[in-house]
Amino acid sequence: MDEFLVSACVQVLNGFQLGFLYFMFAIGLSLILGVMGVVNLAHGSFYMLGAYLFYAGLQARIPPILSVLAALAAIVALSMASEKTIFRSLRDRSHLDQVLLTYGLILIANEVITMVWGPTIRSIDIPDALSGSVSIGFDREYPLYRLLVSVVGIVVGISVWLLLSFTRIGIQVRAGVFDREMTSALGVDVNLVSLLVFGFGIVLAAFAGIVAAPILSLYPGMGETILIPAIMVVILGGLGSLKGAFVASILVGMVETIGRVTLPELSNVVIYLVVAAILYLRPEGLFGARISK
Amino acid sequence: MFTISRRGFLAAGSVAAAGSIIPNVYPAWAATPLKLGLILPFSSVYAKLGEEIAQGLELALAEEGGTVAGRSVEVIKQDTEVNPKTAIQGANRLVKQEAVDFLVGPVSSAVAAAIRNVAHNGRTHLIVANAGHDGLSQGLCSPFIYRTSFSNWQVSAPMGTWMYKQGIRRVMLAASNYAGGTLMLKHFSESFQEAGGEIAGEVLPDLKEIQYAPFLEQIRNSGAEAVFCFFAGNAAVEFVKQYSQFGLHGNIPLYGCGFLTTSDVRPAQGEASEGIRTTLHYAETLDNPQNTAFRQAFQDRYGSAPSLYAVQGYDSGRAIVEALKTTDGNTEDKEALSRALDGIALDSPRGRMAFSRNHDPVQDIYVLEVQNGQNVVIDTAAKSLTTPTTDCTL
Repeated sequence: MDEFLVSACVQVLNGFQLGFLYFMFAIGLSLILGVMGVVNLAHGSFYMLGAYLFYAGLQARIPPILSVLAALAAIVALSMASEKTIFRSLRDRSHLDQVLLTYGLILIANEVITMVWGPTIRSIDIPDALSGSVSIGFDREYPLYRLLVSVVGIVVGISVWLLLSFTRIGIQVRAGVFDREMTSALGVDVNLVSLLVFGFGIVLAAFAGIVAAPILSLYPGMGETILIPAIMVVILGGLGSLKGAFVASILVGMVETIGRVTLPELSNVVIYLVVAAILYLRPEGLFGARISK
Repeated sequence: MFTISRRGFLAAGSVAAAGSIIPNVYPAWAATPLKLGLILPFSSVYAKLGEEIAQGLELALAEEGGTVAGRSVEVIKQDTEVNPKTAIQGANRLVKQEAVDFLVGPVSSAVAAAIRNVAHNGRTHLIVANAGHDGLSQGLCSPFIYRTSFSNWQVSAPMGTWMYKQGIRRVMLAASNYAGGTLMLKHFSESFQEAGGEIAGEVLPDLKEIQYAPFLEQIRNSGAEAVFCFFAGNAAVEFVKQYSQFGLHGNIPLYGCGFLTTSDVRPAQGEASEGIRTTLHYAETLDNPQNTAFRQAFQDRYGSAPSLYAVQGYDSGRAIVEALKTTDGNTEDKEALSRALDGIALDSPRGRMAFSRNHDPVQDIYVLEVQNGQNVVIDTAAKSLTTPTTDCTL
């Protein structure tokens, strides 16, 4: 029985770790959809790009921390440029146009990665200092890096919450989610808000890619594997809601993890059933604003 | 690269002219180039494999000086995009419009199954250079289809017998959840259970899984002495890495089909791949003169080390060359061409290779172990292995 309990605890940790990875990725997806009204399927491409830039830094023998910072700096520049050139004009287009264009961006991004780094699968080792295991009691160990993923997720979550709750720009962002036109009419520079939200969301996606890289592998198209569950998180949590993204991420991570153990035959379906059931009861998502239009 | 030379063209013209006056003196096929239709993935996930197969094949032709039994060679490349529908159209074009003498391809089993009838009904020889679909040498076998790679059964079943011989009695199974993966597990289970072994259970992560942790926890709790698995590509990298990160590496030995640690994934797996044992029909480190010469020639020509896929492409080329030497360049008489292929015995980089009655390679299956980042042959799991001819009436 003890054995079973320990195992259950490990699976819960696994669920949290997956959930926090989804969370870091989904915050941006949710805010961009909430504030700009843009469905960004290419979100996974920035996740992939973050991982590859981090890899390139390590290959150039740049220390890990500097590699992370350099990758994020490059992503900031790229996200700002793409917001001004591509995504800003998508705000007033239909969702179909947005989906078509951002899907095209996925294809371009995968092709560019293939051209630069080739189709070969690459991987990053966990830095030595973080590669050990920690005891979680009952003679069981858990990989340190995996626990850190959850810790990083919590830190990111709290930071974003503080930003949104206590800064002027955070309040403008929340107002933008609630009613974009009214916010604009009140004199808020919507273009600036959208630029910042987009840049911030994309940086978080790239950061998720960097954090995931040592656990997973790098290959053209790696972004699509996380995109589908993240879209589910956004719908489930409610557009533009940080609390919603958090709860939904952990829920999806947990249901996927536990479902695979207890109902292996249905593991791919369970999560969709749960999401469908919740959306039936709350069409606006767990923490979404009530749809009034 | 293989186009008709001007002199060849003049010769062809004069032969054609002569042929109209004195019929049946010089066979028509002797003047036309040998047309090879490569039906391979040149884009999408298997692009690298398609490229290596094509390179191996071209190396085999170049070693003949670009002509086979007096005929120049024309290679036509057709991208399958790993999509059965695209592949059927492409294969049809090659067979009907281009009237190729041979099809060489595909990588994916689904594509192989899709183009099987194009080759069979079109009476055009298909040399399968990778796809391991068991049916191609069983229920779907054809007088015109030969395989130079492997059948799924060949790379999974021998491990069951071999592991039992090593004293392993209880094994946990793991594979990506799709037809190819579960089939490999089935072949392994049958041979392992037949030998007397016991299966502790199985886990089937999704093909696009990113979280192997829950499955690894089940493997840890299974009480199995070893794990047999089938993963390929990025799944192989992620499974092996996470297996090590969760401390299973070294505690529960990992065994699998050779694709778990082939040269396309092993560098990315790093330390985590050390000690993994797999069954496969080739290893880079095989110590025989053909392999040494082949690896050197490939490296010189393309500037990169050849993988298993290059060997399969190379042997496809060798098989075509040898068959045409037997028929003296004749590709019109399809039955004679099949008889020529039946009689082939190749000194391949993998060792001796011939075709069985159901047109699969008769080959040794090696047991490989990753040592210092290299697959080293530690034993031979099966000598001159042929795939069972179940439902094949050839």
